[in-house]
Amino acid sequence: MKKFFTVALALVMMMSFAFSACAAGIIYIITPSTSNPFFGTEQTVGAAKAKELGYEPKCFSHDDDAAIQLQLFEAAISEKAAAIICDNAGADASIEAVRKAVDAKIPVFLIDREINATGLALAQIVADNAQGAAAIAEKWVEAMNYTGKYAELLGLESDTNCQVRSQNYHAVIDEYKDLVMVAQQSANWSQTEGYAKTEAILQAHPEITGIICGNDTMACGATQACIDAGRKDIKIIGLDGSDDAAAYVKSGNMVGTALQQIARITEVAVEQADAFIKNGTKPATEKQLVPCIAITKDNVEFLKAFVYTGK
Amino acid sequence: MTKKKILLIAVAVALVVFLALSAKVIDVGTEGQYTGVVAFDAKTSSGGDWEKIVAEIKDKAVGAETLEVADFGKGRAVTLNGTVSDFSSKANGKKNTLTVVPKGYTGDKTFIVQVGSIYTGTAVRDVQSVKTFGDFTNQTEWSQYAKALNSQLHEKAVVPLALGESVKGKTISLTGAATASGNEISITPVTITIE
Repeated sequence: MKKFFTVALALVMMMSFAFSACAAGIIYIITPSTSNPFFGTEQTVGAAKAKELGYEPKCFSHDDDAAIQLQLFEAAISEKAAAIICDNAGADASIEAVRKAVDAKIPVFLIDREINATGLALAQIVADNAQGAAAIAEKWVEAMNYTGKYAELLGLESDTNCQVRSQNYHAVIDEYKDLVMVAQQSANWSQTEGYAKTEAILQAHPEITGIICGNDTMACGATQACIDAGRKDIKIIGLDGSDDAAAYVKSGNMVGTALQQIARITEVAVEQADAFIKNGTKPATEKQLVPCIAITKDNVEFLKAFVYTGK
Repeated sequence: MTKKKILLIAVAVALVVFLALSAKVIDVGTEGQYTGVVAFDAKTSSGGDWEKIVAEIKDKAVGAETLEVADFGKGRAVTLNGTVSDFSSKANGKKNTLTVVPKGYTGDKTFIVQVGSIYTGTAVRDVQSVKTFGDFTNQTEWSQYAKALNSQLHEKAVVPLALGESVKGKTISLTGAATASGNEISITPVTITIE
């Protein structure tokens, strides 16, 4: 499979050598698997913006495999890409790839996930997960009327965002002594696990009236489990701002989610790449936070495909 | 096994033994003395900045009643002078707010002032420029900083007033950081005077 991939990559590279001469340059857009629409949005929005600014976009997925990611970076280097936009495959594992590109004088703009090194990428533009978690937790606390027992579904525990989101949920919720967590389990960001864990939690702790989830996929699983168990009274939140979660918010089965403005983040990255390529202007700061937007029934109508059109 | 392999293994073993013997064991909690990386303390950090932040907010503040909803964005430094029309207490007395009607105000906005002890949002952090996200290692520290600033304002501006039901009807003037949601303006105060 990897061999096939390498061969395919080589072919793509050869073809692009032949056709790419006319554009202002090639911009590589490298993301995790587009089977998650969140990452699909990065590729479609990034490619559209790059085209609009006169570049030839090339989109690839590293499938969260740092070795594939490194091959893609090497391909970008040998193609003399004008810039690389990347949602990386691991905070430590990606440093080598980024360093190689930078050594080859190719500017790198990271989106969505940070790496554990500064001074390499020209930008690390990420959604403010801490602020987003706190913002939607505040809405949830109100929906719970400041009291009750609840459960938490954590993401993949080795993932930074899992910790950041959980910590910031609790930074808000733990101030209210009448909100008591009775179960906390990982559902590994997965919808099916979210469903199964929720089913089990509802059996063991039927007294709960709320569930907080580290992302929307798990929240959607939890919501469906609650609906199937006839527990429409349970107050559920997630984080991401996916259309699936938005549908549950609209139907009143979820309290809310926090939108990570990934479309906006990607556009900003391409714009900053453009400014650097054309004028040598570097972003004012490397680490940039884009605020999340708390989405509830009051403003869910303005959310579609990770784009918020409300004021 | 070839001679070369044996030699390689011998070198590897020697290296491991050398590393084990030469390593210095550092007690937990003292890493900072060696690496120069000192654990982040939001409370200390915010305490040192507090006077500067209050001065900056006072300097930038405009009358809250003069702004349109769209002007608030992520947060605006504001002043508010008026009469307290309501004191609301939720979550067993831990989430208290004042409703204030600005002097001579005839518009349709509601002005809510947070008076703790639990504060919602990061408005105070977001309107100041003494510290930026780049001064912190990660999002969590940046978030802790916002919380620490909220604790500062609670201790310094709100607690001394010992607010309760009796504040209704009194004249109030304050400076703070405001955000808007619909027609509701939420203000986190950094200074309050009640007459």
